[in-house]
Parts: sequence; structure tokens; C-alpha cells
Amino acid sequence: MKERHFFGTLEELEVGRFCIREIGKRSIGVTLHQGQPIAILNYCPHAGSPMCRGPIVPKLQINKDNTLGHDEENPVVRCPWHGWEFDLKTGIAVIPSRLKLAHFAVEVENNQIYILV
Amino acid sequence: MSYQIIDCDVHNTYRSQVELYPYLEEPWLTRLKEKGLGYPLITYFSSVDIKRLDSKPEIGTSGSDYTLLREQLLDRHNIRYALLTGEGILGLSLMPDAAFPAALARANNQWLVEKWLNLDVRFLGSLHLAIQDPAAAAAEIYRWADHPQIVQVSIPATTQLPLSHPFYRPVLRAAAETGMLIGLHFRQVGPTVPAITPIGAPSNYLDYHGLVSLPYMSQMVMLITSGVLEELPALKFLMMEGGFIWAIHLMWRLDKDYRAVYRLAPGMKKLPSEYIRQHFKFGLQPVYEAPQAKQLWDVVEAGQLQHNLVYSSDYPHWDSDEPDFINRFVPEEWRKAIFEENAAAWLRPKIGL
Repeated sequence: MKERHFFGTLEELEVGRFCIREIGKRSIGVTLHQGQPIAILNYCPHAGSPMCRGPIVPKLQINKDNTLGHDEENPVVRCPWHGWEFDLKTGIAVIPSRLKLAHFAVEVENNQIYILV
Repeated sequence: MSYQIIDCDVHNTYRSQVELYPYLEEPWLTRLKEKGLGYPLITYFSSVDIKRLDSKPEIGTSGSDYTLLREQLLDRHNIRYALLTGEGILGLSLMPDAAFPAALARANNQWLVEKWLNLDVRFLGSLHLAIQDPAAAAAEIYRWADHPQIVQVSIPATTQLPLSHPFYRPVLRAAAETGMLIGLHFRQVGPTVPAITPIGAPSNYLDYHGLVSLPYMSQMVMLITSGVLEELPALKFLMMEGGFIWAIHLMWRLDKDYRAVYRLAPGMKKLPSEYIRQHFKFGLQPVYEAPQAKQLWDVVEAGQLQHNLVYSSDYPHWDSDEPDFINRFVPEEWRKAIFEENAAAWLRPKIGL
């Protein structure tokens, strides 16, 4: 049974970086993407880095004319230690791996953010 | 388990440069007669002869006599196919000029067909090229594309630029389009041969032979990261005499690095180790003689390289490996793969196995 924990308010969140707080024994980061809060465990599944200290950057895109570009719609989180990148929304590693970021469900009520842990 | 033997590295050569004269046009014929090939054929000093002492025929140098080669290699070991890789001619690509080596390459390849491939259906041939003129080298590949016994182009492991550099793309494209393997083979010292270490020249043959893997590693890394293996997915590289345990090092290291800095290699679409397994095979010779024979195969299995190793005798060189010797290191259940299948998979449809 998951418990509902208060995290903070929407005003405290920023696009492109995580707001990191301790929820019980877990360190959790929350960021905004397209107006929605996304919460992940502040722990890289590869080697245990504080994942939410890493940058949120656009995914690399190879255009039809073979030039390089950025996919602004699909940001990735880059590990602050070893550089592994994971899709912010799905947690799936950009370079295929069985390892995945841990996400948490988020509920918003009256600008109050709650995390289900 | 029954299997045929495909030997992927057999060094045939000419008794003297005179054998090339009928295939060379002027003014190159006169130049060869008066000045020779134009690059040093000497090697690092070694305290042992560079060729097996029993391989020297009465006339000429080791590897130049078909009858002796047939007796000592093909018939004695029941070799089904022997991939001839040449000797003394690999320096063409490292000569400072272009037209003379290109002419020598054409002459050598014609000589190969007439004086070797026509003698024995068990022979397969490697073209030699002057890759400093990529267009001429590519034309030479297309010229022989349909010859039923020519399956490979031979390129020195040390090159003036990485093979992945766009300069060499016509050569790689021609090999890919004709289905030719690219055999990388080392070429020893000479004034225009790049050093194989970044700390200067090896001081003797022991140093050289121990370090010879370095250019193979360099070529493989940059071929993978350049994306050329996506551009030309038919490329296949046979890495001869350069070892292979380092390939495991590169697979594990590059896979790790790629996860972090894949943005530097946007032409890649999968892990480096997947390109290595798909596009590179390695000659076993000179086989690693681990303290216990079994330890070598433990390493091969750790790197999952069982399908990427091919038998190569390197006859008639001093460190050649005969099939019985290799069998000390290869478990019985893998011998068909090593001696036959791994090479055959890349040599079809030109061979009948």
C-alpha cells in the first residue's frame, strides 16, 4: 500500500531542474515538464549517483537530412557521474539497458504536490 | 565432429621481383628494374629467422614455391581453402607517391591470379592496393569483383589516416559493394610507415611483436564510432596477426563509455560491442599460450567471441600455428566454428562450403 506524502507546491518547481527533498528514507527529485510534475528517485540505477543533480537536456535527434538536432519534446536526465541518460518521462535508458529510473506517481491538489511512495 | 579447414592467412610471394615484370607497363617496369620496390623490405632485428627454416625452397624465398607450400601446408593438413595474403607487397599503401604503387598493385594482382590462383582451386586471393590513391584502389577492387577466388583486399593495419576517414571512403565502399573482406595486416618499419606506438618506435622485434595490436585497436575503435559501419553495413574486417583479447577490453570499455558520450558518435545505432561482433573477425594466430590451455577459451567465452575467431596458420612465418597445435586450445565442440564455419560464413558464396 503506497502512502501519500506532501512534497511541496507547484510554484517551487522549475522546468529543467529538480527540486530535491527527503521523503521518509528516500531522496526524491521533482521537476516540471509541460506543466506536469515528474518525480524520480534521486538514485541512478547504474552506480548509485544522486541522479537528480544531473542536468535535464533535450534528447539528441538525427534529422531526416542527416543533420543533428535536439528533440525538445523528449528531455532526458543525464547522470551527474557517468553520463548515462534516461528518458525523463519513461525512465528508459537512451542506450538500451535493463536498468531504468525509478518513478513515483504524483498527485496535485490546489497547487499542492503529493508523492505516492 | 568433422570439419573442413579454412586457413585465413597464408603468405605466398614471388621468388624475386622479376616475376612481376610481365605484368608491369612502362615507365614503371624500368623503375622497378632499376630501383626496386622503393621501400625497405628489412624488418626489425630478430634473433630468429622471420620465416620457418624448413619452408625455404631450393630456389627463392619461403612462400614462393607452390609445390613446397602445397606439400607443407595444403596436403599435410588437408586444408580445404587457403586465403593467400601475400608477402613483401603490403608496403604499397605506405609509399609516398601514388602512381607507381598503383601500377605495382595492378601487376601484383594479375600475377596472383595467373601464378597462384590458377594453380589450385584451394587458393583464395587477397588483392593488394595502393590506398593513397583511393579512386585507383577502388577501381582495382571492382576490376576483380567477379573473380571466383578473390575474396579479400589486404590493407596495412597502420595507415596515414584512420581507415574511417572520408579520404578512404571509396576503398571501403568498393569493398562493401563487391562483398570483399578487408584484411588488416601489419606492415613493418619503413620511412613512411606510421609508428605503432605514441611513445616512439619499438626498439626491436620483441617490442614490435608485443605491441602490434595497437594499430588494429585504433582502426577498430574509429571504424565503429565514425558510423561508417551503418553507412556501409556490408563491411567485414579480418584482423590478422594482431591478437584479439584486446577486443574484449574494447567491447567492455566502449560500451560503458558510449552510454555516457554517445552524442559524440551520432552515426552509431547500437552498442560498440554489437558492431565488433557483426563486422570484425580475428585470426587466432599467433595463438595466446596461456599458462593453462583451457584459460584461453575461458577468456574467449567471457567475451562471447566464439563466432569471431578464424583459423590462420600464417605459414611460413616463424610463429605459424598448425591445426594440431591450435586444437590444444580450442574445445572440440568449437573446432568446426573456428576452422570452418566462422570463415565460411563470410566467404560464401565464393566458396563451396
